[in-house]
Amino acid sequence: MRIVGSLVMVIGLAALLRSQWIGASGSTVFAVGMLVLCAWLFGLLCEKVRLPALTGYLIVGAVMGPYVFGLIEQEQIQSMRFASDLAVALIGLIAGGEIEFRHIRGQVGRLGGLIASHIVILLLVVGGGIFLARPITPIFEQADSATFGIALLLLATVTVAASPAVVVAMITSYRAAGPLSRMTMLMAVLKDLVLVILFAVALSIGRAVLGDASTFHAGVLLAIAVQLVGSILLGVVFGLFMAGYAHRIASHLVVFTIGSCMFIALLGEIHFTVMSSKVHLEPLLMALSAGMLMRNVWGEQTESLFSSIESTSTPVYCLFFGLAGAKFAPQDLVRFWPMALGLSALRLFGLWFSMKVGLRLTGYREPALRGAWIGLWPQAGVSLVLVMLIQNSFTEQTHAVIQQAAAVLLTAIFIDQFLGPIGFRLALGRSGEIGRLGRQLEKTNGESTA
Amino acid sequence: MQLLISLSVVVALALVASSRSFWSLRRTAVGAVIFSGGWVAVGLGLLLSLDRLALVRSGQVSALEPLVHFALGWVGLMVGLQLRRDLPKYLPGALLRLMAMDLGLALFAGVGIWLAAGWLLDLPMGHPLRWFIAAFLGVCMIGWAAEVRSLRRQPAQDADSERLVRATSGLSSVFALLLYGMLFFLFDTPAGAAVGADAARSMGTVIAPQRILFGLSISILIAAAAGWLCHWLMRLAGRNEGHFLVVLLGVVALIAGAAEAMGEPPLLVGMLCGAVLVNLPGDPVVRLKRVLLEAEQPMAMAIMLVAGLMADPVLPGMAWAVVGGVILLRIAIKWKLIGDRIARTAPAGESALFHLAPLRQHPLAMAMAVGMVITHPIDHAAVTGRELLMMVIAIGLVCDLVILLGKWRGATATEQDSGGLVG
Amino acid sequence: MSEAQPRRKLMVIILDQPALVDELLTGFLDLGVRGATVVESRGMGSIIRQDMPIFAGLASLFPENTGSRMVLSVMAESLIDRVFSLVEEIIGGLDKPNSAVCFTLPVEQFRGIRH
Repeated sequence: MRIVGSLVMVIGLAALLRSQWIGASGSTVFAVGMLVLCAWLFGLLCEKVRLPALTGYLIVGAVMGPYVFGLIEQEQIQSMRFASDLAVALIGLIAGGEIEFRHIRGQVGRLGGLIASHIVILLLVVGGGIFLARPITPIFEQADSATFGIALLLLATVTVAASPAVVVAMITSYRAAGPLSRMTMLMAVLKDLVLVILFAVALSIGRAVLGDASTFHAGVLLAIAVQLVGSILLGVVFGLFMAGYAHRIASHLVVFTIGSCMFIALLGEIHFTVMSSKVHLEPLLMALSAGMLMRNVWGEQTESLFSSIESTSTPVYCLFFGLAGAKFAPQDLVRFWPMALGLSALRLFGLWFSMKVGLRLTGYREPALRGAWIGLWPQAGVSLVLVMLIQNSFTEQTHAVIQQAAAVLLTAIFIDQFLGPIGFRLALGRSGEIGRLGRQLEKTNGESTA
Repeated sequence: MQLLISLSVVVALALVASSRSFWSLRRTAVGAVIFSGGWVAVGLGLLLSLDRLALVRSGQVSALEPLVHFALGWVGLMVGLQLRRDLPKYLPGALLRLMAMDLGLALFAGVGIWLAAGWLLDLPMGHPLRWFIAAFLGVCMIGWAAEVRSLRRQPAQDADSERLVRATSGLSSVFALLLYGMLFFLFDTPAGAAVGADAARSMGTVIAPQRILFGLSISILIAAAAGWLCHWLMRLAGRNEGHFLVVLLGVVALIAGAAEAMGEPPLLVGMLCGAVLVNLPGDPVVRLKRVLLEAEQPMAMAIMLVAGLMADPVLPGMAWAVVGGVILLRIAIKWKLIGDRIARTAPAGESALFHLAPLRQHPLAMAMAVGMVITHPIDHAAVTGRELLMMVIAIGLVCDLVILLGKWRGATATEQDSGGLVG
Repeated sequence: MSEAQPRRKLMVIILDQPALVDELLTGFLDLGVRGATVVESRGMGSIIRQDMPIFAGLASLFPENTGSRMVLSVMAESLIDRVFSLVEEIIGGLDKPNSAVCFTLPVEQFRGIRH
């Protein structure tokens, strides 16, 4: 009741200010405040009814966004993009900090096999499904074979993307620990690294075949390699700097964390050219490497830094997922819902099937891992960026089919974004891993004091 | 982009500089003046904005505006959280007389600047900009820096003089902020006025006394509602660190954003909100105060850096004359009249240094000037907002240099004295 | 001849959140710790900040801005683990910055009021 009352108060105050004095164009800072507070409160409300808080953040974003009530304008979302990048960096640091080498030592080959088999099977299932569904899919009626082939390739590739952000956010907020949490985190993070390469290749092939912009050449692969290796190396340097700060200086850790994430996000905005291909550093990858380095090399010295990162994460999640929700356009859902639902269902089946086969092939036997496929259901940041890249690479006039396919994909991503966290919450609950981190900490403390 | 990267680097440097590792450096007299005055950040900001280095273009600075509004709201809240109902109980007895003298001096200085501005900046008698410059620089005259470390010769002793310096500085800053807010309402900027010629016209043409009451009422209304909301939400957040941060950041963003959109100063709305919040019962306020105070140094550094970035380092000769006049007024009156009264309460051997205490400009003056530049941009032929900001920086810097000079001379005199005794 | 005394330790807890003292003392009673002394204390950072404020000059005038409370209690060794857990529970994790610091010291002799 108090939460509902608080929510009514925040919305009431914001609405009063907007209607009387602030006006529709408003201020970005005001929009941030409103979004963060409302998302947090609605997240609390969702938790009361056993839904993930994250779903609440997304719903609030969607409701307040430009396509529903318009409390947050399109330009404001644009000007808050920097906050999103900052959040990606923070999520990367948390995700990197969760990957401890001691847990995967001795199973690198098996894990690699699982990821490879999962990706290949998922691509085949989704690609095959789209191919079979072509006669009953309206957007492909007029498409020639080449366009259909490229659309299929791009759609299938993007469906491989998971959402490390959602996985990290869910695991940290539920203080979950165990084989399911660990495997889902690893899969979501490592899979996205492979996806970056896959997508770059698919997009280049698409551009070459459909005659847009540049053509595919070996330089593209080199550029991708530079992007990946450069991001990892810079992440390592950044990890060194952060660990040094946490160890030697160790003050204002929250401000330092936010400042560091800001810096990582900014580095991601710098573009340079390698073999005539535009390259930029990947903030997620940089933060991930920094986090992994700190956790695995200077675990003890950086413990306080990770604690600060964790305490900072709630407002960042509220803003990040709120903004992600604000991009949701219900009109697209109304227009494309049968195809989007079909694609989403196909992807879900592909996730289940590929993980089932992959786990069996690579010899993972833990029963808890059977639910790992649900953790890969949610899609968010990375997938949205990839769709945006597709939309920017093929113009509406010349490639209407690709544009429509991208819109269907976007709608399917939103469906996964809203339903995925609920599924993952159920899987975590069933595995008994929720709250296990807190219990483990207590046990460790107990042992050390005894 | 370059700007944001530079900003990140500088904030990182500021963090390192404000860290515990640098405490010993900060606790020397020079270090105390430099760090509490934010001169490292201001200097870096000025350096980055130099045309020759071409690191930052002035247009890029506008990208920082949302962050600056947020920081100003934060600082305002920090100031307001000091305004407890029982504050009078803790104030030293001589404070009110000192404050009255200080306010009188600010008024006197304002009149002086008004007279000088007409002659030096060639503004006609009734020109609103002339009134604005006089009033703004007059408000910046109020109070002094609360830092006392640089004034001490002996180790910490929490003497009456120190309490007096800090308390008067704190309370003066509250009055200064109130008057500063009224300036915003008095010199109206029509909604949507652009930076440049339009803004100059808007600042230079409209004086709206009737807006003071309306503007203040709105500010109080927003602040009261936000303060009450913050209190309520903090209780809901309980002890969860993440939830607490959500409420803090959300409420500061809400008030700073509302103030920005309505053309009200975020510093004032933040302060009023803090004043409401601190007088509501319950534990959350203590925690809030601690978090805000802990971030005081990096937040100050960020604002000072922006001040350096936004200021126009090339002041015309006439503006320097105004700066010189203000400094002379500070030295002649603040040092002589107010400093004398503070010095009487100082421990033996430190009276000469505490004499200098009121000379230093309150760091809040810089924050007010930054707020003025981004909320009420002035671009007049006689003076621009960025030049006004530079004038405030110059006044603060010269006064701090005078303090250091006084400290150095005092130290030399002591050495000579002790040498004489020993000899 | 004096009766054999149980082994005791001095528990020192420095709480950064004075508001939690009440809850801590109540927890002590529940655990069977029957006495403690609470001292108003001040962290190094707070002292250093006091004479170098930037915007908030009045903050150092108020008594609660000393910031922390030190709780001293001599207790049976068998209670120590439970007290650590209690502090952890009240603070919500000792690994967080600005939460609390606690440690124990051996007590060689003990004389005075017995509860």
